[in-house]
Amino acid sequence: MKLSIFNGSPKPGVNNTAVLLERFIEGFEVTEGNKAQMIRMNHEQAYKEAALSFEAAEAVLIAFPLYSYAMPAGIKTFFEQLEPLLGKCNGKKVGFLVQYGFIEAVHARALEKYLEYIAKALDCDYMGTIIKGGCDGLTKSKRGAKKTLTGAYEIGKKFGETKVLDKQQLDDYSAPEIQKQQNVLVMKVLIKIINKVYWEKSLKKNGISVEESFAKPYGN
Amino acid sequence: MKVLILNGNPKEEYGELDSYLKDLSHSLESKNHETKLIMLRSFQFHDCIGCYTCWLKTPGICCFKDGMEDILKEYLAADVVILASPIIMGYISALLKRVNDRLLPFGHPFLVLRENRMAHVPRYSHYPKTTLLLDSNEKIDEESFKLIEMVYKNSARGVTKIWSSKQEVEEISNEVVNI
Ligand SMILES: Cc1cc2nc3c(=O)[nH]c(=O)nc-3n(C[C@H](O)[C@H](O)[C@H](O)COP(=O)(O)O)c2cc1C
Repeated sequence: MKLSIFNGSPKPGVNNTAVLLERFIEGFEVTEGNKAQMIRMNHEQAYKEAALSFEAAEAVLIAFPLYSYAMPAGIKTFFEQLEPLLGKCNGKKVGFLVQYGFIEAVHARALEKYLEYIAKALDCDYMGTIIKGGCDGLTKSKRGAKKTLTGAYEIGKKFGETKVLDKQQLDDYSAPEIQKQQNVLVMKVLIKIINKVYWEKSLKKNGISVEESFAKPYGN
Repeated sequence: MKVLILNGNPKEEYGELDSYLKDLSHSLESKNHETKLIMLRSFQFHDCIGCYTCWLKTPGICCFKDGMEDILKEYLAADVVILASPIIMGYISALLKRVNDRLLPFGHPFLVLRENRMAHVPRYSHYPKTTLLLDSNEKIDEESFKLIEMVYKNSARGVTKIWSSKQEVEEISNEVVNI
């Protein structure tokens, strides 16, 4: 199978989407004859060109970070380029990968419904959406994200073999849906640690105190 | 009340929404609401590139100086914000989503747990009530309407109300008061 993978991270350089995709592709290409082609799109012209690649592709995976509980504006620009293809994709296989900072899967569930809807409106064969939270630091520390990366590899591998995204496998990968009540205390402690060692440290590196980080330049 | 209407219609040739919003703006003004209508397509806004400058380097201020800063100021100064967009490919326009993404400086990097899920700490002590006004003229858009509603209901800051341009201007302008 030839799979065209669109990476729509708006970031100019290294990005978490790419780190995850790398492992997915590794798994996907384990099966002989499988080949993934990466298409980077993060500016106006690239969205236009990507629409042409989309039209020509046999099977497609559209990957991007969650931005405000939905796709980034750039991915929406790309979708708008696809408008002439509404109802005309003849069952082209399309799947999505959405990764983001928050840990729980619930943040991307409403978007997932939309992605399914728009894929079907294009008359694509909707394969599913790989949803993975807790991905904010992937480019910084691959060691701390071993499970996340191995999971992407496993999903890619199984997809490479079967040519379908396994719903159960995706759900296991996305878990937890939300935090269970009995985990709330643990999570609160974890969040305190993230704020301290991740965010406060990044601020400090830029010479910004916690107090300064709460600046209100435009109002109350 | 202060009302800010952001017109996210990207297409000049699609005049219906533009004139609808003008009518809405006049109607609100006739009820003594200070109303500002901003045409987003007359700006050249950058997409947010996720650099986190607005969180980690110049807290609250975006790295791009392309006019968005004025919109953020207007946004915070308003009591009610109406985000208006035609439904295109089943969702709000990329133009309006771009502005939506660029609201990142309104948040703070620190995390909190709210309703058993993660969220960010707010930067400001007070935000306006945000509403959506969706413009749909085709039947298939009914499903999109519901999906857009789902996405915004799922989001932390959320929206207070979602309107359709099928509603009478007067009806919406009356509801703005009671929001
Ligand atoms: C404008 C903006 C909005 C974001 N919205 C969300 C969000 O709603 N939920 C979330 O968990 N992470 C959110 N994030 C974080 C990104 O999804 C996360 O950092 C992701 O790993 C970035 O991927 P990339 O490096 O491939 O661009 C947002 C980031 C930006 C810049």
